[in-house]
Amino acid sequence: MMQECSDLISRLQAGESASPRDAARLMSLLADDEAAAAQVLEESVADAGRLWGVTGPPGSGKSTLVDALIAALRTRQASRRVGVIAVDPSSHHGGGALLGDRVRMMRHADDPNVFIRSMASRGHLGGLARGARATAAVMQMIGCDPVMLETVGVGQNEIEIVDLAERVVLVLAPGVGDGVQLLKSGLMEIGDIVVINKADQAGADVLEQELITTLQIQHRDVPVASVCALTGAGIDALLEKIEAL
Amino acid sequence: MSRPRRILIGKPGLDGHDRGAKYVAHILRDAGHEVIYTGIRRTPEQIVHAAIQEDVDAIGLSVLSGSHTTLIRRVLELLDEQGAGDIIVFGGGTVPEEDAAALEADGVAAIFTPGTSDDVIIETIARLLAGHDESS
Repeated sequence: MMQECSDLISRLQAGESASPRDAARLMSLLADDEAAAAQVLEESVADAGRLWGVTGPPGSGKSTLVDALIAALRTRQASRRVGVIAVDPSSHHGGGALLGDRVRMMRHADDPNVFIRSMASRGHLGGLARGARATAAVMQMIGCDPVMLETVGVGQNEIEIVDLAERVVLVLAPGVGDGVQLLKSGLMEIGDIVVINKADQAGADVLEQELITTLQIQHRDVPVASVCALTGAGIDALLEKIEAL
Repeated sequence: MSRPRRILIGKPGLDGHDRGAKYVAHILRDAGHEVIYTGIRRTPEQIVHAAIQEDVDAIGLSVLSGSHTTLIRRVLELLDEQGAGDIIVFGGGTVPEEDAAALEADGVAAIFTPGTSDDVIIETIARLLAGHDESS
């Protein structure tokens, strides 16, 4: 196993001969072998590229937002390679998983400069998957910048993403709870920027007011952006805000 | 306990009848597999691109439009071109017996037609994955 990993790594680092299949294979090996993953991470270059976290409750539109951000990043810079890791939960019964985030991003399926990898949480709590960090390292090895790491739909306390990502985008949408929910939620302790998605829907303005109040109570100076990921409205402005953080 | 296996379920072509694909994705998930579902109306190119990035062990293709032979053969071709001919390909849908036999002769591992039981699908996939391990 270790030998196969180091062969793949040398091929990927050599650049030209590297195929997407080599990168994908390495991700699988590292997800299955924590010792190998630890070693790769130790040897991987710090500052290899930007790692952004995208988190929020189920149905807030994380995958659709990631899809819109890919489109904006790729439009701006045709040579830019973008990586996405999308985590969905594993079943408690039997350990299987249905990984469906990719469905929202299929318009990029013909783009060789977009590398999307779905991961199952495999019993790992905290909103991420075992091996997510190593998968991100492999994406950075093949030049993905940024890598966007989308967590499972999170509730009030799955905030492991802050330890991993240098910038965390917290996605909220109208209809997920009132101001008290916001105040007690551990989610509201994180996020370098808060996005109100589905801003065209009823209740978005109320959510924005409650959000601003909550941030004031918490003495947090965090930018808030309203977008509609499905139509792309507000996405360019959001991208500029994320990059300016 | 071995690692979970990764299987892509996709619908190439233009028919939108996704109940079968979703059902099979669901029973394979319940059987302990990690199933990547890519939705309806995909091209063979998109499916193969996704399968390679996801490093799947198998691809299941559901076609109910009558164009199963063209679409599934195209997936096989693209996998070969990408050096990924080792990925197991199985199919499902309204596929006449003679077409199923021809596809199996081309390298499709199994074709599941309407009425196939959950158990047969799950056991066949398990057997194919086990055979795959021995040969690699």
